[in-house]
Formats: sequence, structure tokens, C-alpha cells
Amino acid sequence: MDLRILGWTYKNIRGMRELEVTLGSPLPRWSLIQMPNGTGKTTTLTLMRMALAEEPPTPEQVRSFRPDETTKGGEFNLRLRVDGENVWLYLKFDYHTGSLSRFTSRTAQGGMEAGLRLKRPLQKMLTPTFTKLFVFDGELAKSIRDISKDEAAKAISTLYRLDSIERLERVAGEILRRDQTANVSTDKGLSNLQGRLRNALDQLETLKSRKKELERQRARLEKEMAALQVRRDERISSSANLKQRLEEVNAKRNDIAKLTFEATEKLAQLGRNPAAVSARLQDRLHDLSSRLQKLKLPRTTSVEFFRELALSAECICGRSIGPHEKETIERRANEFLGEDQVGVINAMKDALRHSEADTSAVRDLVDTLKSQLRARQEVDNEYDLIVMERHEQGDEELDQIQRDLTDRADKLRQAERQLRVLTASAKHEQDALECDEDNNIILCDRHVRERQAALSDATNTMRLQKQTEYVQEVLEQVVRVSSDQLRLRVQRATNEKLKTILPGEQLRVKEIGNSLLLHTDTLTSKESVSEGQSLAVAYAFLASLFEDAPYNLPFVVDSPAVSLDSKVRREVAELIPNLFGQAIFFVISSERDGFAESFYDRPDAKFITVQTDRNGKTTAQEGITAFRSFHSKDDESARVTS
Amino acid sequence: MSFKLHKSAPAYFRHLLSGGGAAHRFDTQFDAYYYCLLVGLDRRQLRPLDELGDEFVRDYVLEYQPHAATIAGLLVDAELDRTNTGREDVKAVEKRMVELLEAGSASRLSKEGQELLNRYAAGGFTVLNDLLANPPQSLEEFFVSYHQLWTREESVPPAPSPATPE
Repeated sequence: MDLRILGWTYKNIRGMRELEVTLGSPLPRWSLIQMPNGTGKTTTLTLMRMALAEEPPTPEQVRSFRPDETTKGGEFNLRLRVDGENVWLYLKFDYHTGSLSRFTSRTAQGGMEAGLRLKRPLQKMLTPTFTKLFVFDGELAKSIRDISKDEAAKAISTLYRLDSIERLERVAGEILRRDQTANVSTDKGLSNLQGRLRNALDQLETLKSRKKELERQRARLEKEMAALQVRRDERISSSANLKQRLEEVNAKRNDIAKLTFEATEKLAQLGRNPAAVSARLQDRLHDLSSRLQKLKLPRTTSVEFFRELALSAECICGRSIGPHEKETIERRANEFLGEDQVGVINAMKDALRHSEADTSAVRDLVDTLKSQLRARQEVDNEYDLIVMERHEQGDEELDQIQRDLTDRADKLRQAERQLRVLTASAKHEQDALECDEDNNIILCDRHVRERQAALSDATNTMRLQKQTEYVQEVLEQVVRVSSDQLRLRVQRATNEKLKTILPGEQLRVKEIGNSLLLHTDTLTSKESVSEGQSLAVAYAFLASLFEDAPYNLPFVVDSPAVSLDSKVRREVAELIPNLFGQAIFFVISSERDGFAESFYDRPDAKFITVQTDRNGKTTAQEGITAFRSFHSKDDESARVTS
Repeated sequence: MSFKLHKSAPAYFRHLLSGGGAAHRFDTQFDAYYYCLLVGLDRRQLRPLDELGDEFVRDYVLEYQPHAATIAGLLVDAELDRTNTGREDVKAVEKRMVELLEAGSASRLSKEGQELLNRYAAGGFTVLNDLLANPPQSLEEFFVSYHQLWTREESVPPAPSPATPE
């Protein structure tokens, strides 16, 4: 499915009394809209998101678009092309009541229909959260790394249509329930069974929500602890004599972290070859290879050879093959391997013969890790000493930070324990944690199945229930495995792009887990990633997320390069054009250097400058000349400040 | 084919798996499986099927694909030993290989071979769980303990393992 933005119109929206922005025909691949700060860039993005995703705004939000107290209503119209069909989305604001009315007009339908009326799968996909992924501002760039596993999984599920499989799962459940209901008599016993099943299902939902809540809580606490640790270091640094020691300790920590990371990565990589892990494994592989060699296995003659021979009139030795010989050859042929079997054994034999690896490399890396772990322990002790000395000097704020840290650590431990209780799957662990169906998801799930079985039994739908469970289980696995693999694929594609955008940094996404976990060997704390780096990660991640999806969506971004230094700007500017089918950039004049200028020579780029004159009238001027010569005092001062 | 960890393994490796607390973690669950597997195959330890958890991945993850044939070799080696297949018995060795290997499968293993691989991985897990005791808190600490285990063992070859449950 292909979605393109053709233009938009404002009527009585903040400073814009009447303004139309048209991206033109043929539609340019890249549109750069230059708008000075404060003239409505963020408002435009908000309106676009509001038009695309059906979420009712609050009366306060509606009134925030009001240009003055006397204006009664306003309108925003977003023009789209969806799979070749033109679609107009209207937002009509009533500033008096604080309400919003939506209308949709489509070429194919003619006339206006109330509400948002896009093609069903597209409309379903365009939730407010999802829309933020392709109509986004600087805020998202800053927070993209906080995208949770759930959100990433949800975006992937929507984009790659895994939600259709999830829907099938629900449909299977609904069919079962319908059948069960049809078989239910008014018998009180059956009602009880249904009630018990409902309770068990409710409990399961509660536990699953609890798990999500605890995971969010854990992520929040970890973040708070990281921030408190930074503040603790700042307080310690306020003591002149401790400042230098702290800096030394932190420098050592950085070195240790770098060496540990490198050694761990290399070890993980080398260890994937079993022969590198242990000399004994290597010996075993060589012994097996020699043994097969000695036994002349696999035998070179295959079953296929004898089967063909049996069909011939005479043997290779010249003797004729009669019915008796034919039968004997065919019978004995089965004692030989098929060609495919010979092939697979040979492949293994070949791998055994070449299973050479230098186990000393692994040993050296382990030694490095051991010494770094010791060094880390020493540095931690040194750090504790500094904290203690600073504490003895007396510092109210530091004491408070310490108390807060202890408090967060306690809460984190509690959250982790509760998560373990919720998710423990091994029997001995469930016993140790005193799990039951009221506090453990796995046991509760089992309880639900038992309740379902009891109900099915009573309603003669046992067979259907088993079939439904099987189908649901298979579908669930399809979704889980696909989602994991797609997440991994997005992660790998993101890292490939990061190598190009930030060649010297070696910054990469280690995991799309509770957030976009970053890894770098040049920074100890992944929290200290710069805004520019965050933006580069955001672009690389979003481009990777969308690149293979069955939906072609436009990419709209506010101030794409304002926080980047000029070198990274050029790299981002070189990368972005190839990432998206349609990109609309809202820029300020200071972003022309390095970023916008790289589009000047591209024939498929359009330049529009929006400005407000002395009388408050806002106009949109097309063309590169106006774009290049436009000068805004605010933006220039922003550039000087930045 | 499908790879399955021991039921208790995700809890044991919880800090090192996705969403865990360690700064450096496994890239995938397959890493945990692999480290358990090598120990299980080396010690000829396998656990019964009912101790296995759900499938966590269907095929070898990318990083391990080049080593699929070597891992199949280690399985054949362990199985010839465990089933007391005569070292010089050409037909018996060939038969066992045919039972364990399959050309069309991405892991190079037959259904039986795959099942046994999972059981060896589960066996390796129980060994690690016993010997390393506490759940590893960080990947670097796990690597040190894990490789020390091999170094220690290599100075004294392991005694023949007791009969393992079928």
C-alpha cells in the first residue's frame, strides 16, 4: 500500500489565516519546507498526525489552535494519495465548544463523509503511536531510544501484517466460544463452569498487564538510578581534592569497560566455533574424522548406482542381468546410502577435517577478562572509598542522593522478584517462589486450559477445543518467531546504516529490548550518547523499520539536522534521500548549511519558504532562490547559540 | 526442526538474555543453548524430553550456520559413544550417522538428531547449573567461569558418565 502527502491547507489556525501548501505534480521525492521558528512547524506536524490517526483531542488542545479570541472556527485539510486515489482529510475545529469534526473526501466516493475514512488496513494501522514513527519531531528523535520492546514489536507487527495472524488466533477462539455457547443448556453447572473460566481468563489478563507494568517500572528505575549516579558524581566533584581522584577513577572505568567489551565481543565471536572453545572438543572432532577416514565412510557407491544397474540389461562386467540378478541387486542396494545421505556425511566429514582453531586465542581473551574483572573490582572499591570520604565531609544533598539510590535499588530488586514470580516456568523455581495460578502467568495459563477443558467436556466441544488450542499455539509461535526475527533484522539493518553514518563511532544497537539498547566501545555509559548520535540512530532505525514493509509511507520530520554538527549533517543528508520514497523536511534557515544545501542539485527536490509579513499575513513561496536567500533573525541567532 | 532449551535455562540465564539486567548480554537465546550444548555433548549428558521448554527458534541463527556441520559431528561423536557403537563396525557407524543426519534439514540433522541435540543441550545446562551454581550476572563473568570449566576439566579428563535417563 502506498501513501503519499500531496499538500495541506490551513484556515484560521494560529498565525495562519489562509494558507495552502502544495507539493506539486509530479510529486517531488524530497520537499524542504523552510519555516522560521515559531511560525507553526510543530503545529503542522501535530495537525498531520491528528488528521491521520483518529484520536479525539481535548477541548484545550482544540482551542490551542485558535488564532484569537474572536475567531469561532478553523480548518486543516491534508491531501493524500492512497494507492493512486486522491483523498482529502478535513479537520474542522469549533473553538467555541472546543470540539473537532472530521470529514473525508475521496475521488472514488465523491462528496464528504463524516469521520476518518481511509482504506481499512491503513486506517487500522494509523494509531497515534504508530503515526509518530513517520511524522516526527525532535522530541521523538530524543526519545526513540526509549521505544519499548512492546512498541517496537507492535510497530513491526502492524507494518509487517503479523496482526492479521493474531486476528486469526482470536477468530479461532471466538468460534470455539460460539460452539460452546450453542451447546450450553440452562443448566446451572454449565453456567458455573463458564463463570470459572471467565474468572481464570480475567486473572490471566491481570497478570499479563502486571508483567508489562513491572517491566516499565524496571526500565524507569534503571533510568532514575543512572541519573542519580551522575548527580552523585557531580556532588563528589564539588570537593576540590576528590574531584581529581574521581576523574581518575572514571577514566580507569572507561578503559576497563572498553577492554572488557572488546574481549567479550571477540570471545563471543571466536567461541561460536566449537573447536576454538576447547582442545578436547577439537581432539574429538579430529578423532571422528580419522575414524571415518579409516572406515572409508561414507561408502562412495550409492543406492542410486545399484538401482540404475538393476534396470540395465547387462552388468559393467559384461554379464547379463536376468530377473534373479535384478531382484538381488535391488535388495542389496538398500544396504547402501542414498546420494543425499552420502552428501550430508561428506559435508560433516569435511567440516571435521577443517575444524582447526587456535584455542590459545580464547585462553588469552579469558585471561584479559579475568584481569579486567579484578581491575573493575579495585576501581569499584576505590570509588566506594571516595564516596565515603565525601560523605564524611558532610553533604546533605549527597546523603539524600545516596538514600534515593538505596531506595531505587530496593524497588528494583522488588520489581525483579515480582517479575520472577510472574514468569517462573521451571517447577523447582515455581516451588521456591511459592507460585500459584494467582501470581504466576504459566500456572494461570494452565489453569485457564483446565477450565476450558472442563467447559468443553461439558459442552461436547472437547475435540474442537483441542484443535483450536493447536491452531492458536501454532499461530502464536509464528507471530513470536517472526516478530523476533524481524526485530533482529531491523536491528542488523540499523547497524549497517550506522556504520555508514557514524563510521568512526562504532555505535550500534545491541538489542531492541526494553529500549533501543546501544553499544559502543568508545563510550562507557551508553547514556552519554549525544543528541546528534541519537538522531542518527533514530533515522537508521526508522529507515530500517520501514524499508521492507508492505506499506510505503511518507517520512515527515521537523528540524532534521538542527542538533547535528556539520560533518554528521552531511552524512545524514547523504543517507536520508535513499531511505524514504517521500520525505518532507521542515527546516529553519540555519539547517541550510550542510543539510538542505545537499538537496540543491537534486532534480527531484522541491523548496518552499513559508514566511509571515509585517501585517501578519503568511505566504508560501516556491523555488530555490527564495529558499536560499531567506533570512530569519531568530534562526540565525539559534545557529550562533548552537 | 526446532531448538529447545531446558525449561529452567531461561530463568538461570535471565540476566544475560534479552531484557535482562547485565550490560553485556547474549545476542540471542541461541548463545545460551550453544554453551549448554557443548558441555552436554562433551560430557555425554542428556536429559529427558519432558525437561525441555518450548521451541525458541526454528533454524540455526545466522552466526552459527557456518558451524552446523561441526556441531552435527560432535553429536555423532557423542552418540557413537553413548550407544556403545563398535568403533570398527562400519555398518553400525554408518547406520547411526544415517539415523542422526538428514540432507534436507538446515541443521543437517534428522528429527531424532535434533531431538537428541536438544536433550544434550538440556544435559549441559544441568551440568552448568550444578557447577557454576549462581545465575551469571554478566556475560564477562559467565565467559570466565565457563572457559575455566573447560581448562580445569582438560587437565583431568572426565570419568565415564553415569547412565543418563532416556
